[in-house]
Amino acid sequence: MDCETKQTTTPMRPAGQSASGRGVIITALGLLALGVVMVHSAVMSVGESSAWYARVDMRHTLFAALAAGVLLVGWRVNYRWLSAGPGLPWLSLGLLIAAIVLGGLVFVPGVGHAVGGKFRWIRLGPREYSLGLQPSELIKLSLIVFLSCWLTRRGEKVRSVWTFLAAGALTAACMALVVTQDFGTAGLIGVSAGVVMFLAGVPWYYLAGAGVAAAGAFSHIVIQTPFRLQRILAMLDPWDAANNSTYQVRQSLTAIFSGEWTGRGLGLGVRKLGFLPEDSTDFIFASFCEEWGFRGAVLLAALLLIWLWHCRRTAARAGDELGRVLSAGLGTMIALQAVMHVAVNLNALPPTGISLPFVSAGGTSLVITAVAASLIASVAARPAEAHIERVHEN
Amino acid sequence: MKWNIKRHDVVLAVLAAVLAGLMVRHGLMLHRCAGGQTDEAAQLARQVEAAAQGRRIVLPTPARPGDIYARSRRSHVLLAGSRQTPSCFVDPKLIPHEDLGRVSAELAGALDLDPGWVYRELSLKKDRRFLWIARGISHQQAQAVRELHHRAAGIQYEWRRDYPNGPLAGTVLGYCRRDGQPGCGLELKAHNLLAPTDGRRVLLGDAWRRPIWTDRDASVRPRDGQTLCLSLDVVIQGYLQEAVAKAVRDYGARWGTGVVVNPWTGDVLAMCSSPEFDPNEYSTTRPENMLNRAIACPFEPGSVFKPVIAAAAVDRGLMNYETRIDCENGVYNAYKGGRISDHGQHYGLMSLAEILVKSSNIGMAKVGEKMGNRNLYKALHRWGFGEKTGIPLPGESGGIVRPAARWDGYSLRRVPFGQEIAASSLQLAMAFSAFANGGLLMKPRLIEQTTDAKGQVAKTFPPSVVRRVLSEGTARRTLDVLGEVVRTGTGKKSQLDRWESWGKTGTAQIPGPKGYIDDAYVGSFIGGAPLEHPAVVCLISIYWPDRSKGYYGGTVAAPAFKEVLEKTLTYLHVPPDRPTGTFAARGCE
Repeated sequence: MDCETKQTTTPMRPAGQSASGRGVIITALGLLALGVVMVHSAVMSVGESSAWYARVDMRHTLFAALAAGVLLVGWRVNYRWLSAGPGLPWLSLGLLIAAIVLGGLVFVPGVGHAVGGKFRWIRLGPREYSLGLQPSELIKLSLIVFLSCWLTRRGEKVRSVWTFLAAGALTAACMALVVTQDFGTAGLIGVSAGVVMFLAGVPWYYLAGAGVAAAGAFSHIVIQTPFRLQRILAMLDPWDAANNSTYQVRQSLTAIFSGEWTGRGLGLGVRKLGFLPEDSTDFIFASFCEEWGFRGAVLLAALLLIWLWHCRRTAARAGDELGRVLSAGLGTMIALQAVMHVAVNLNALPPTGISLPFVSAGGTSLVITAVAASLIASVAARPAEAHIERVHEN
Repeated sequence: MKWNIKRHDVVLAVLAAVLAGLMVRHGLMLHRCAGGQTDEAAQLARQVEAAAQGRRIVLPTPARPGDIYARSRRSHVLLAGSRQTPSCFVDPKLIPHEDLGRVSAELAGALDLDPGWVYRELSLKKDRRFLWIARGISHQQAQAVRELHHRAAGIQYEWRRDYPNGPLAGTVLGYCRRDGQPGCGLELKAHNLLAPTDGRRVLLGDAWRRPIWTDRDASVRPRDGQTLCLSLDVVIQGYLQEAVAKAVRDYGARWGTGVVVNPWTGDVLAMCSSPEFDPNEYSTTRPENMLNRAIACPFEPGSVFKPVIAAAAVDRGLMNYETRIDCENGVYNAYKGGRISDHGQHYGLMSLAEILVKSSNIGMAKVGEKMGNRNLYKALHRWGFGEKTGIPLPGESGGIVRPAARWDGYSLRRVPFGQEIAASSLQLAMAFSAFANGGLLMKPRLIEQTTDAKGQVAKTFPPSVVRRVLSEGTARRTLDVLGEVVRTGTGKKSQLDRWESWGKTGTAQIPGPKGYIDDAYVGSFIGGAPLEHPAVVCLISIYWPDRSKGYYGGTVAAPAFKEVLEKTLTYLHVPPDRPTGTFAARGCE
């Protein structure tokens, strides 16, 4: 190894040489490929629009290719740039503010776009070729990135209650922006942000207190909004035909049960033929299970566990505190989303719209997830010196 | 190695554990469901099953009923076939109440119906999901309905029975109702062969019931009905029907029957009943005219029965045709046997052959005396009287033969000349066929073979012999005596121009509730031609003709017999064996 380079620049190894980086990228690519196949299968019957761009499967393929590109080259970008800035990591803060502004734009008539009564999208461009953007995804990523950068800055008093309150307020603001339109994503943002604070060293009892407060707020909101209460009840008794909210869960469980252990076979699923709602996004796990069965679910879970393992390895070998928190935080964010998705599909959580990262259709989600994964790979490519030497000793 | 657990390890381990837990939950759910033991699992299985059924679209694919063909010398002729006709149905639930008037008017316009009637139908049955509005409409009307483009109205094709030859063999064929159910006749009896097995296509539909793919395992291909090839010959059938109808008309008879059989095979070449029945008009025909009277209406045969008993007596060796019998000079008062007369004739000592030729009742009564009740009864049984012939037609009567225990001195002397017994036309024709074919009682054959939808022969019905009833010699001798009947006896009017024919006339009184009815007779003639090797046997019976116009079998039935046989033998290319006219002149040279 060139000593000059070692001293003056960031030690960096090609991701191909870093086992964890390679693992993160390959696992993500595997999930992406699975997603392309499953989205094509799930939307097989729909075919309602003639414009190729309006077709979910076409768009998904396009964005999956884009995401694969991001995964393959994104690790070259040094994650440390994110924390650049005097006093505060202004770059990531700027990103967060931009995301929040976009999140606000969702509610502006003419720009915001609703699907199923939920204002979650911004649409730009002509009708059929418009670019849809889901700012909540952006907020999620930029909040995690900002919190990681901020809380791991040298000299930041992470154990201070004020720091915690500031971070908490920021998180609460982001959640508040999202919660009315997307309850599940808001929860995801909250938990992920909490995990990042925890990783950065915020005392666990602050977070426990915040968790209790959040649980209170959650139950208050649930009781206030009848349909959320219905969803909780739907989870408890999914076969109650009198409860309209059970429909999705029923369809999801029917799909999973009719898939049994080995599945009906690729493309032979039936629930996706208009019965299972959101079969290419929020319930793709169910339609995956119908066609691939339990063994497919285990394969998916295995991929996610491998992903988690590599995230953990990356965090353990990270070159600095930022790398550790960032990789573990982003890994958690993605894995948590996957776990929530599977839990909703298996009726272990009340039905809420959470997509399966890398797999579900949805351009913004795919690209954002790929960016997050490439950040992890970027961390993996710049490990602590001890690990570089160890690799070379081997 | 020292454990150095960091915060990220905790977080990621918790996530991994939750994920693994979810997989365990997944597996447990499946395991519990697969067991199917608990109520919950059973309910789940039902839910999954119901979900699988809900997406099925089952389309019936109607199969074609089989055809019925008769034959002619050169080809097969369609007697009964099926064609697809459109029918219009409506799903009244799909018509909004405010549109009812407009839709009724449009439908009525397209189908040439009364708009008021359509409106009433639709409004009275508005909760139904399927309603026939017009069945068997024309293709133009169907097109007009299609052009309405109304989602509630649709066209469905049904197989409709069609009888292109109208009343030809109508009473044999019977009819099929509009819904495909058979009404009577061959259609009824052979329904299991003719009936198609409808198929069904099972499609997998999505939630909007758009078909996605076909479920091949659950789909059933339609199986068309079998086609029947009858032994009936349309040409002979036409001759027979025409002749019988003419006789019935000319003599003002109640009804008449006719049967033409091939004595060697038992093939029923023609069978008719007058008045005629057109199966296309089944809904407006009187039910009694749908009867196939040749098998369904037995009657007392009268003198045509004499050869049967005489031949039986000869065959048993009790006498021969030369045995001389005293005919009592026209009136015979038998001991415990009532008074028998020879319809005004005064015959003395006559041979059995002469008795048949002159048709003496007294002579036959004495033959009966010689045979005895037991032998007579056994002979009837042997000849198949009192039993169905087994022709594949419904409503066949076996005739009436009283139980032997109830026979008395009257029976002994009446049965030999065809009283106290009733037989169907077909039974008599089959009995006379035994004279023609050397003594074999044949089972009448109506269906020669059946073919499946692809035209492959599915089943053939070979000619079958019921039993031998006469020795060949007796049969031949009887035939000669019957030839004498035509030449010099009561059947002169049945003498054919170019062929030697044989036969027996019969004029039977019709019994009523209190003895025989005055002036009510059945005039019959049964015979065949040529004498040497009979090609066909023909029966014609004219029931209850107007007495003033004639009622003897030799008068009412024999000319019709002659007409049918002349035409039939010509048609069948039977070589003439009677030297007359140009043939005779040429033969003398």
